[in-house]
Amino acid sequence: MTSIAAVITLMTASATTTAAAAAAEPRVEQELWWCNVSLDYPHRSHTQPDRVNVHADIKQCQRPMPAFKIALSLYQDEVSPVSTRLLGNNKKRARLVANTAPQENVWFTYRAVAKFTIEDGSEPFKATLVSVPQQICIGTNCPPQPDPDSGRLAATRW
Amino acid sequence: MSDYAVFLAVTDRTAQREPTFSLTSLTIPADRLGEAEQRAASALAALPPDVAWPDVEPAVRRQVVDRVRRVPHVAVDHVEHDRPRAGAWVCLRACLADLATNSSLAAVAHRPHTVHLTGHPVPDPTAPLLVDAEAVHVDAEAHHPALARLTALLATAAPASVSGALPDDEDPYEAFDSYTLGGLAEAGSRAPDSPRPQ
Repeated sequence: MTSIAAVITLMTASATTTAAAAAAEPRVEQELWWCNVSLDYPHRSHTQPDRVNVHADIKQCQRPMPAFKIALSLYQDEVSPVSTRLLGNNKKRARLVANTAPQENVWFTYRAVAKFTIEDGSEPFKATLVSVPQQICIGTNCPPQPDPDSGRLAATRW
Repeated sequence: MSDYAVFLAVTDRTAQREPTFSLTSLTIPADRLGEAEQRAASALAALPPDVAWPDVEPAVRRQVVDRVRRVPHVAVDHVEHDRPRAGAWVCLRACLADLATNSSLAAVAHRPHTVHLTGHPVPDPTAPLLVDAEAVHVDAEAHHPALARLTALLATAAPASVSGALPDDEDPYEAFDSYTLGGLAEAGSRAPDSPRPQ
């Protein structure tokens, strides 16, 4: 059997970015074990407008996962991550959310990291997906979106 | 005061071959229960009474999925009894135990919660998930008809969702922030004809 490290390298190399048809949120995704794992980009919640959400998914499994774990972290300006995790047995689909309610009317840069593990009695199959950073401002009085490279992002805060 | 309202649809398939039972749960933050009921009613308004998800036209499915996204929620979970057939109550109890310990609900089951049942009755209040509930209401349709209906509708969508037969925008589980779908079968080793994970 190919080593786990090699599997992870292969999976990372084949990760793709697509626009999800349903959620309309772009995501990164790849195959893992008999499943597809994905991570969408941080976005404003559909159900809680004051929150920023990100989802990690295991889908399209061709057989039930004997055991799985998802660990999801949402970073706001690379600090103080909100971390959640979900684990279980014999599932064919699973989704986990991490979210935060940021200070209103301030632009922040969000990034998410999802670590997936699927175990079937042999060596565990692992993958890590990282979202593309997203600038998001929650509120009705947001200043103009700053250029992330200009240094103005921090200047919009107080 | 409960923190969560857990709507539980119990589907009896004992007249069929397998699986014998399935359980579908929809967990709502208790302080947003009224809003959730209103939004669920709005989301399901276009559907005929008692329709099953496979019988809904694709265009209507997409509309419903889009509207269900706005229903405040914690998670949905669905478990199918896929072990060798046992007595009906044993099957049902195993599904309840799985939901309480092996799903998104595991994070909620030990917190104050109220259960609202719809579908097949659960004969034993000491069953997992029910025994620790602050209250168990057996008439979910009477008090929260839209949320009870949404949970029952999710149960009818589960087989197609699990098999991947539904496009994302026609899959109602895609409308939720957190979910698990699966069965109870014991963990086993990979089949010998398993080339993909090499």
